[in-house]
Amino acid sequence: MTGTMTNVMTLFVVFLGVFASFSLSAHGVDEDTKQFLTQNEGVSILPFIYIGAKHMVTGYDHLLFLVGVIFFLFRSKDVLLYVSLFTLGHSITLLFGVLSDIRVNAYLIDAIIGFSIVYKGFDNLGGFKRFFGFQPNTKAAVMIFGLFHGFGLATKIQEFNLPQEGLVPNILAFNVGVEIGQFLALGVVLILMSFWRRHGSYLQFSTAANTLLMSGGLMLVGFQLTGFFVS
Amino acid sequence: MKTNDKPNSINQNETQFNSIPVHSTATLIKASVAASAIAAIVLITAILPAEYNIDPTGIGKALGLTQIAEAASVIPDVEVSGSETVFAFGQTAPVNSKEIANAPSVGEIAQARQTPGVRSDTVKINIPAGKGLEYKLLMDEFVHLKYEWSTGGEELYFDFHGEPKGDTTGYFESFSITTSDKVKGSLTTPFAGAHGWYWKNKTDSPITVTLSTTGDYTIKG
Repeated sequence: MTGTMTNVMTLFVVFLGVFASFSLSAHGVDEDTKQFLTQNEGVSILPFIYIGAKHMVTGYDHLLFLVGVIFFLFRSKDVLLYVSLFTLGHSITLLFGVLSDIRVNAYLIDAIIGFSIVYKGFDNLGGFKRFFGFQPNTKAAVMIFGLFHGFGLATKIQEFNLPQEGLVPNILAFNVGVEIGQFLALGVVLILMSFWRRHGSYLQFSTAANTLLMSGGLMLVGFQLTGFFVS
Repeated sequence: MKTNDKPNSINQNETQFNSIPVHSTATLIKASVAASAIAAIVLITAILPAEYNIDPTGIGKALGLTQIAEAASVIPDVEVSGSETVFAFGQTAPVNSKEIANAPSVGEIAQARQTPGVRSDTVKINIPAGKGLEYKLLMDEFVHLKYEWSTGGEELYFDFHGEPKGDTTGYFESFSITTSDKVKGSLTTPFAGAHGWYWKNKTDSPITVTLSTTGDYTIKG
């Protein structure tokens, strides 16, 4: 039993480490990408797909939310359904936000994204049932938070004042990239989680895991709100 | 495991999904307090010092984390930041980068002219067949630049132009637009910003431009 627990804890630490190591690059778009985005002229499908995918793979805030969403989804059918709802949500606002040039304050939207992680951690602990006596619709929640995550993605890409020429195909390509990146990252997360799920301690540690998830979300909220007030 | 009590759930999946453990109030409160405490500690001792140089406890400074925020605030807060990693379409070795100073006074310009060669660079830029590429230098206002480029015989369409620093409207000013295989000249920048060349290779084979520049600038690539 202790052996299993050690394994599980090791896995969990590695797992958190993977996210932590992205922390510095998570928000901005790195310098080379910035160079490309500001100099780009016209339609460039593949580069935008790549940038979108990279943003998602290194965007630990979106990934932490997804970890929360799939934490208690044990059937691939459910994972697919919930991830599709999330995808639908963020695609709508990503495209709508950029194309109609709606600019949301990046700090506020990222604070809401942080809050979505806290929400999901609390939800996974059964907090809503216990405290409020009812379970908010989990499908609706993932869809609604998906809409906020999409605005977050939209503000990132809008910071670059992309030229109008080729904007629509480029944004569509970026969105496709976001989905590819999400798919790849989710694959890794699911593999790690299904290893862990084989051990009985998955449920045993689920409280600790979701507490840490809430904690991570709260850190993001604090980080972004401080950014909002000091900038 | 509790059974699902959601009224409109119909299938088995739903039941299984919603049968997540519902913890006791004590556990929930403990979890929430622990989550908030961990978040508060990490925020105050690490994230805020490192990101914003806000360090109420002094721990961030002791751990050296505030250096990150301090280093970031030294970089001028302008759109054309001079501290970018320099690259030239993967063809050239990285060159030393330098931050753009404030625009020089007339005296400083005169001095800069007398001592040209604040730096000199020669780069090879590969223009793929049928493609156009830009190569830019970041310069202050009224700075002198000597340049020379050649392709080794193949003619290229080019537009030598400058984009004012901080401009978001897409405005640029062309200094010369023509087709040639080599150009030698100089420029005194009319405004601070990114100045450089757009070359368009209309042939079916790649062309390499060898560009030599001398002046006070930062390579943007």
